[in-house]
Amino acid sequence: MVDAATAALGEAFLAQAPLTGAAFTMGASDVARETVWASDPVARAIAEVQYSLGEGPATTAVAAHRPVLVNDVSAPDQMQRWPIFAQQISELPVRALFAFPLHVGAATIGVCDCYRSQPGPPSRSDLRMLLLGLDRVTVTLLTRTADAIRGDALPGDTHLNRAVVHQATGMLAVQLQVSIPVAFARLRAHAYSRGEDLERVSRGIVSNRQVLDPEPP
Amino acid sequence: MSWPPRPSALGCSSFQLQSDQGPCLDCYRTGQPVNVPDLRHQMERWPMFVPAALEQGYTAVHAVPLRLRGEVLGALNLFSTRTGALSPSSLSLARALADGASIAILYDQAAQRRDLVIEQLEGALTSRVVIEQAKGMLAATGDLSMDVAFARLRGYARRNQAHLTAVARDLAEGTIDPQSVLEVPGKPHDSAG
Repeated sequence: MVDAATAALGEAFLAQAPLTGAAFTMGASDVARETVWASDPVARAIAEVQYSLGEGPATTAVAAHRPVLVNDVSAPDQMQRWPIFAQQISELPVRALFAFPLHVGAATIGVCDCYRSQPGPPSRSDLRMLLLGLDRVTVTLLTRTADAIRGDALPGDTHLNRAVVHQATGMLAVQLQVSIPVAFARLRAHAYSRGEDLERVSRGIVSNRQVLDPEPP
Repeated sequence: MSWPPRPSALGCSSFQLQSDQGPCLDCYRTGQPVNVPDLRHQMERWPMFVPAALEQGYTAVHAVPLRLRGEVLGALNLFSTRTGALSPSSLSLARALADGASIAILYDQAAQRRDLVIEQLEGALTSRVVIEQAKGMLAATGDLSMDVAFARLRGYARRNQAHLTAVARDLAEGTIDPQSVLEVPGKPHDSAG
């Protein structure tokens, strides 16, 4: 799924960064977002859960155009903003979460989810290192995007990771006779109510032709 | 082509572009400075530009190329209401201003290219999402596999000489009916694209 150059970019970033793991997601919209690299399954899960739910530190970081630092996920006041996200990642070996928007000037082209297995804020020098490293990542991803767009492939993969989610959205729109945004919201709600991730539920809809109830439960 | 210190100087500069003649264009084309200490002697060289400049009260014009290494990016025009050559110190100031302007123009071009890439990135992400959504709609409507749904989508776009993304967007936004995309004229059971 992940191309070698994006993986190398991610590994180089992580080697310099005082982190346990990280994930890069391109795109700033709620729907059109692609996780192009994750250092490990925990980092991937952090990105995926946020996409499934539409909430979490990365979502907030993109919307607010600023980094979001959660120094201790077990501190009750720090995760209040994202109650469902907090609950869904509670089983993961994550104690601190940092989300940085990938900025180019005033534009946000994506977001980086970072985590640590130990709680605590990043030091001033940690933060400087992270921001510098992410500037390099952003410029590289953008340059490679410029090259890749001509070939119709984006950094990270040759096909859409979340294709099945968008296919399922289209199917639901027809089956439920609703608009695409409503179908996507229904898909998210259905995944959440079953405690499953969006991709798994979508795969069920696409391959098994599972049909949702016309009215939300 | 130059920053206008007075509205009339902007008028003179744009007049050169409109009439396709004048010291600024000569400077831009040759990459060499053009010094005109007295415009009244250049009526034959620029028969349309000179009267226009004189009318604005200008009697001397100096043009300095904006260059990056070998490439000429533009020209800096200096208009004067007094006749006479530029002093060496004024000339070196003009060159410094021209270099500063060249750098600013290059940065602006780089920023525009960057903005274009950001736009393309957003477009590429969104169009891929919309195509997958449209495939899902067609698959559900015709009880088709995703591959067949894509072939039908592409076939419809080809028959109607439309972009794949545009058809997908119309489907996703509900402006065309999935059923009409699935109808293959003359070949009701054809699933190839």
